[in-house]
Amino acid sequence: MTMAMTKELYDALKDIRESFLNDLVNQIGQMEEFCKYLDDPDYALPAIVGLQGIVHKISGIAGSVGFPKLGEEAGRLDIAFGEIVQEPYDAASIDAVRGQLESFLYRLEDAFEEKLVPTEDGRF
Amino acid sequence: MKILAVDDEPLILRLLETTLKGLGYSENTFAESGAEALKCLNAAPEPFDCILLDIRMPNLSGIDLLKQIRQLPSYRSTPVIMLTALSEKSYIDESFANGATDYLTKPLDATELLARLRVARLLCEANTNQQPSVGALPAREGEKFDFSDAIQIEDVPRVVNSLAMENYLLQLGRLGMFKLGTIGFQIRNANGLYAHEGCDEFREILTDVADCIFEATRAVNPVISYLGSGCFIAIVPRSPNFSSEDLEDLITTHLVNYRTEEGFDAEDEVRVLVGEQINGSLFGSSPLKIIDQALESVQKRHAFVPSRVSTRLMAI
Repeated sequence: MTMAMTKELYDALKDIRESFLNDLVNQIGQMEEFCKYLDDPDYALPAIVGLQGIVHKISGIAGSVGFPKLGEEAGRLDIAFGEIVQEPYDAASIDAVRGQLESFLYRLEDAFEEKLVPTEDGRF
Repeated sequence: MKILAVDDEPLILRLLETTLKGLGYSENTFAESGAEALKCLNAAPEPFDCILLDIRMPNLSGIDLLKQIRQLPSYRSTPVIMLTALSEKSYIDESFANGATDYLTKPLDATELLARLRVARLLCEANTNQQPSVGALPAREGEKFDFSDAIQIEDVPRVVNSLAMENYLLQLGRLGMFKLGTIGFQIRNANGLYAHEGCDEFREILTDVADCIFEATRAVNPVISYLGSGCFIAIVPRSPNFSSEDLEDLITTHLVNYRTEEGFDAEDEVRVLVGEQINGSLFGSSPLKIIDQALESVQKRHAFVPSRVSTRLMAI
């Protein structure tokens, strides 16, 4: 048995995708705010914790609503942030992940351009 | 099947609601936190048949919630499937060691979810009907079981049922299995003990043995499982390699202490035979093969014909 794509199911999945994109607007804003503190030794680690919380949420849902690459990238950042926060503040380790973070933010913005619809088996 | 799904992310819950409904599961309850989940569990007029748990949640994590769920008498053997975006081994280990039945990584895949739920339903039915051969049965005091049944050993840390063990190994993947070693254990004359002592006493012996295996390996956070017919396996880190002789001596010492405390004579001595540690290979390893190799190693070291060599874990 697979999922039969009824109108109801189609609408529900589309609605979840819309909600994901709506949440993304706030999440991008929060992430940009956290990024301002990455150079401050006193606030960089709490900022990374904040960033990790957001990318963790994105990694959990993005792949299910039609953004698998975004989800994978968020998962990689989640793990990278997790490693950073387990150690004392180290500017070099934060710099090492900065490029990845920037490209992720660009990819988040690109997500709004993608117009995908659910397929027959409930995937996007 | 009544399902309780717990995740702090409302979108995931909506997605689960939609997916479960699309798969034909309609009796679903959703909770956004561990505290809310506990309320649902306590308030439910009839126990849930399956629980889906997110791991990383604020305040009460999925693993801490799982520990509390397993303390509830109605949920000691209920299938619990862990959901997480992370595939890090430590989370997998902790989940299974604390009583998870299965593990599913996000993003959610409807086909994968359906497969896991089907197994959960089988387990649920087996628990209800007390039918052997599906995963592990709790086999509580007074309940009969066959010698070959992989009954669930309760109240021993880091002991999981045989189905959870297989799921654990499957989730580790090739690299994960490469980092691990497997040790087989066989109770000497297990068949005779079962026949002579009966189910209740044999279950006590199994619990003591599981406890002793845990005590002997606890420093490396093992994952232990009873596979039926007096056979156990323990999954340990690849390095350092355990010495079979040392492990056997340690388990014997613990067992003698346990049994003496429980008032048994020396003639009631229970001995556990230990195989060599079998380390995973990058190629050609599968959970069943590793388990078989570990149990065959007990046979080779002790040159006996075991009552059971090949595992009878359920093929999913």
